[in-house]
Amino acid sequence: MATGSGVSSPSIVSYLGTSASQSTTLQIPTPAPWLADVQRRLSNSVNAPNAADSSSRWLTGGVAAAANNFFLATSDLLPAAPYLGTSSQGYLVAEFKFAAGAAMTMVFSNTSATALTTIAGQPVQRKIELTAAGIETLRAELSRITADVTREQNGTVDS
Amino acid sequence: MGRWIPKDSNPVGANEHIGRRIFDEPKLFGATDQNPFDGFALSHFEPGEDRELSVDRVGDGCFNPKAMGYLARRAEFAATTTHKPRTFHGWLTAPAAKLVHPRTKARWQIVPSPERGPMVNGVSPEWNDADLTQNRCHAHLPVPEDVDNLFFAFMVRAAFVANKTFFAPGAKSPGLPAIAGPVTLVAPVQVKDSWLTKVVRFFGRKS
Repeated sequence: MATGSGVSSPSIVSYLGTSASQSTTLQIPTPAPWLADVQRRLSNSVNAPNAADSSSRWLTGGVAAAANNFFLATSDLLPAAPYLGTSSQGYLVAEFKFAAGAAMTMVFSNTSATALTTIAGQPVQRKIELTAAGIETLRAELSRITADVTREQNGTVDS
Repeated sequence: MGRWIPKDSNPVGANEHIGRRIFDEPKLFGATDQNPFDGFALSHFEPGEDRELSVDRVGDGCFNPKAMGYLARRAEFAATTTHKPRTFHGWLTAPAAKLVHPRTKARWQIVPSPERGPMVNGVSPEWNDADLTQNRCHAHLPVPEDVDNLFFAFMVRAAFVANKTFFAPGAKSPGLPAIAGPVTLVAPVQVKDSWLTKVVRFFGRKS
């Protein structure tokens, strides 16, 4: 696993289900260049208490925190900054474009991240429970998903 | 010549074309600085709270011009009835057969559900083309019990986008707008900027 900056983050390791004893040895991976922009967008999209505008353009603090922690742990595994949107239920929807046209949509709730993509010609969804998964598990699962997405695209091109 | 209207009780035929209306969608408040999405946002295809995705039956084998006239007025009216008025851009369309069979062993339904509008004195009103709350071409896709709303939206979006056919309505002058399209997309369009609508209208006027 690529770990570079060495910046520890007790909040993320506890959120992602890693025990306190492990947190002393885990490090946050090298952040992708776009991570700061995404974090700012998330932060600016959190609904303020008693805000008059309760439309789906806002995020709850829980959803924003879950997505923020996910991106902190995995930004180096993702292709580029996602396009951020929302669902009518208040979930964060992040749309990723990979090289050669492959795509993946991720949906974030307070506690989970769900990848929606097409693998072997079939629509697939894979849900990751963020509160149960440690960073290593999360990164391994995301790596499997992105490998399948890019392999799918390469297979399509080859055929 | 009468306009194409699906028979109320007739099932949707496999070759019948189905349209999903594309309106402006709310953007994420803190992300207005990001580049426009070069595709259709998932929110365009989200089922309602009743777990049904509303669609229009737009014609047999293609988008029937007279059905478009009928539906365009209703779509533009619908855009004004939301809490915050939205812009109606047009329809993504696909043959029914492609929508109901999104993956191996999965098959959905498209249920005809013509809308008569609000009841009057407890009675459904008669069909009246001037009543824009009515829609004889309305249908819906029920979300299967074992499918999550957003996964359903993802699959429906893929089916519509794969068909690469977007119809913009004609000019917004009163009366029936001119038929415009179909436009074959070489890439997903950015609906927000509405450039496709402008192009289609431009060529629509010239033809």
